[in-house]
Amino acid sequence: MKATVMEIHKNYCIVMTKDGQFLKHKAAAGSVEIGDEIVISKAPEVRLGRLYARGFAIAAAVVVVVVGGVFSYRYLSKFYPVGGVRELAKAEVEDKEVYQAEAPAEVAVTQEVGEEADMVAAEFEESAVDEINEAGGLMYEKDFVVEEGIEVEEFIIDDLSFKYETFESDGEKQILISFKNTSGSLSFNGSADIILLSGDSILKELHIDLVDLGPWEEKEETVVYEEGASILRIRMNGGFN
Amino acid sequence: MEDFKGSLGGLISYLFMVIHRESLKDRVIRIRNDSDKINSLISEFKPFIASVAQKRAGKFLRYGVDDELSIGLMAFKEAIDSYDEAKGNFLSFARLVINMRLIDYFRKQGRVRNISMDGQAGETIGEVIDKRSMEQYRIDSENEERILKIIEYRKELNKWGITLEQLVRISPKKSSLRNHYIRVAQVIVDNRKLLDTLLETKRLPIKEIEKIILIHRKKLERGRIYIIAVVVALLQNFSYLDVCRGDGGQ
Repeated sequence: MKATVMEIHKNYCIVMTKDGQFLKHKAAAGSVEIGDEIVISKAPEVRLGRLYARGFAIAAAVVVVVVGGVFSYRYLSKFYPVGGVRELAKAEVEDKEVYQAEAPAEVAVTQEVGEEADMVAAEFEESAVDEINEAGGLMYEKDFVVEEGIEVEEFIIDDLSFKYETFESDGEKQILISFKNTSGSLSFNGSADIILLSGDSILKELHIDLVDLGPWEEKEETVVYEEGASILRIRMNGGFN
Repeated sequence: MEDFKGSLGGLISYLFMVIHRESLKDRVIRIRNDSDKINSLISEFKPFIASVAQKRAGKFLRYGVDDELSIGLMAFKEAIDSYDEAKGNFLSFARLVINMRLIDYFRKQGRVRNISMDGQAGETIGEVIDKRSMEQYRIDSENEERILKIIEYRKELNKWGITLEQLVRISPKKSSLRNHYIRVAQVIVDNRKLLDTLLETKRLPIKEIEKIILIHRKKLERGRIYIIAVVVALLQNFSYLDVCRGDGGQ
């Protein structure tokens, strides 16, 4: 399908299709310009992460649904109440394979997700979001790369944006961390633990409370960028209400 | 009555600004002696400058780090200073100037790059422009229009606190859900009261929408950012979306 290039990043561009999808498309910088019309396939991006569901037995399994031979972690990546999804999987998925893995589950996925898989996963996501919110929130953990001159922004819990960037001030290297509630009507309550690691060694930890972070509100903290730090781990819990 | 007038006035001002947008070339000529406005224009077009420079350099570039972007910024300023209508569309002219200044830079660095249709060694910008055909002019006009619309759209989304990265994450993958949200956006744009409420409060009037369209409140909540993005596109007549041309939404 055709799409218009809207924004360019280091290894990818963001495109918009004529029917209103916004997608990331792998493209080497310099290969496309803003405004170019390109042809893309329907493959979604993928990522690796660990997840926990608070309020549910951690020893219980995380259900991974395999549809048509591939599965989309992106749809399952945030929060999955084991009981709910398993029941849904049994009720909704026909002639498909269903796997269970022990939590915490590290799963890596890739490949194109067909329209049928999209539909099934979208249904799961809706029910899962409802169940998690009713259960009172979730835990989330992810590792990011940290190095000099980096700036990253990502949405980690629904409409909660997490951003970090390294900078130098008065000769000292620091990391600016910010959380922004981009919900137009809900407040976020929770907390985050930021851990700086060098390999497996913990160099620094920072705890940030996010209490009543209202619509469009932002909270920032800075932490010294310890020499040798290569990973920034974030552990979050909380939810919108 | 006063509230109605105020909100109507706000809507009219907003639509006037969108519909009667000053053309870029008029803006460039108008601001030429105002350094603040020039800086503001350059800042708005930083993504465009980076896009052109990256294509010429063949790699990802960062402001504040890579010299190529500094050269791109200076070339864009040069284009503003030297532009006149005889040189065609402003963005095409600016692209030409940026490319030629980068070529000069690479030559000084000993990094000779393939010279494309933008010009040959020793040619001035004026000579290159003269060689361009009417067909090229037409293509340039279409490209400029598309780039301008994209930049305007991103700028407007930014005012709402919406980024394209965010839209990638939240735009529905399921086409039926996407069409449903697009229909909600169309209803909002067609309903003055709903549109006023959205523009004034910056929040989706969910209760009112629920009365008009059969859609669950939670679905509306989850789709609100996407719905707002489509509303902005409809208001700006962002014709790269089928729904803005009346082709889609179903």
